[in-house]
Amino acid sequence: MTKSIESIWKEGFIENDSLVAPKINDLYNQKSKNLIDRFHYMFSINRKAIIIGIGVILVLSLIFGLPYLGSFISVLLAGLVLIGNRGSKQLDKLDKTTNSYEYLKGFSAWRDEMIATYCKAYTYFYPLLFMGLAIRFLYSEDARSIINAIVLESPNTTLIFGLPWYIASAFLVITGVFYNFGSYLYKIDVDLVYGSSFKKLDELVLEMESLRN
Amino acid sequence: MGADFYINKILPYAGIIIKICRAYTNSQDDFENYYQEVCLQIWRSRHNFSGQSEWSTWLYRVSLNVCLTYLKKSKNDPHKFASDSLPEEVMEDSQGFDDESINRLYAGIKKLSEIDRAVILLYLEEHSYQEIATIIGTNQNNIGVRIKRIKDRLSKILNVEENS
Repeated sequence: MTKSIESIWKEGFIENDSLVAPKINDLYNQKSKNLIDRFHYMFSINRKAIIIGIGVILVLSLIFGLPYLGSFISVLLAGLVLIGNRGSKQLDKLDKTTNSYEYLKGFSAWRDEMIATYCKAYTYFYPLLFMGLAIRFLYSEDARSIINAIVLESPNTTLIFGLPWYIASAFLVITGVFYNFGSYLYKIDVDLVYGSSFKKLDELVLEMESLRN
Repeated sequence: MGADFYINKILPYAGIIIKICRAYTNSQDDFENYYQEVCLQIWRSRHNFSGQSEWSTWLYRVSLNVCLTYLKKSKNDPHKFASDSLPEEVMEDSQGFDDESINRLYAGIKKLSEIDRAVILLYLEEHSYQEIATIIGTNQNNIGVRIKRIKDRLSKILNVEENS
């Protein structure tokens, strides 16, 4: 007669020898592979990298005589650090000891909020970065001499803010493209790296919800 | 990690952790990594234990949460969940226990979804529907129906294997 799963379970574990704990090595110093800890680690690495990047940009911008551009890019990057700090603090509040639904739902809500916040940030970050670089270039002495030569050759060219209309238009179009696609670029990036684990997380939450309703 | 904490607070309950980790892993290596990760998270979260539930119930909760969100290091996808079920031919080791029937039961459990694995493990460990609902964070009324479905599915899987 086929045994029930309950009796297989009970009889299988009568001998406690079958439950031998594996050896643990240097546990305290292990790197966690938990999804939430991985994000914590990633946020901390990103923040450190951006802060180092800000320092490097400021020093280089002073060396190359571009203090305003360097400061402008640093302010943009500092905005990303602030977002990361906020996200990390919120992640600290997630409790691995709560029930599984709250734990998974909490992480999922945090993820959605962070993606939305970063999308909004990158909507402005990329176009502002492009504008900063482009304005610095277009009004540099080298660029001015080229633009002056163009204007001299075609004196009837309409100028907008001192730039031939087609250069000014290209500037506006590229800025617009970055404005529209900044959040897409970020989403593509996130999807490439975390797509499969996020999909799995969504499936887990959906299944939990089906069990709740 | 304080050796005392491991010896006094975790080791006596190692059985719970082993049973859960076995259900979410497909190889001995994975199992040992999971076990280590669960112990690490129990140690890190120990201050969150308020005493409102039994220590063992709290361990179930932490162990399940850790197993549900453990990432497997893989060349193709470093962020893949380790509990993802694998095709049988890829399973490296499902012979975790001496008892053959238990190994077959575990092979069946691994074919269930992650949430169903949690439900049936808690049921087999003789937790009440109320306790299962509390640990998982779901509705007690649906637990009974879900367990019935899981048991039917498991019986089918085991019968097919027995007859083949």
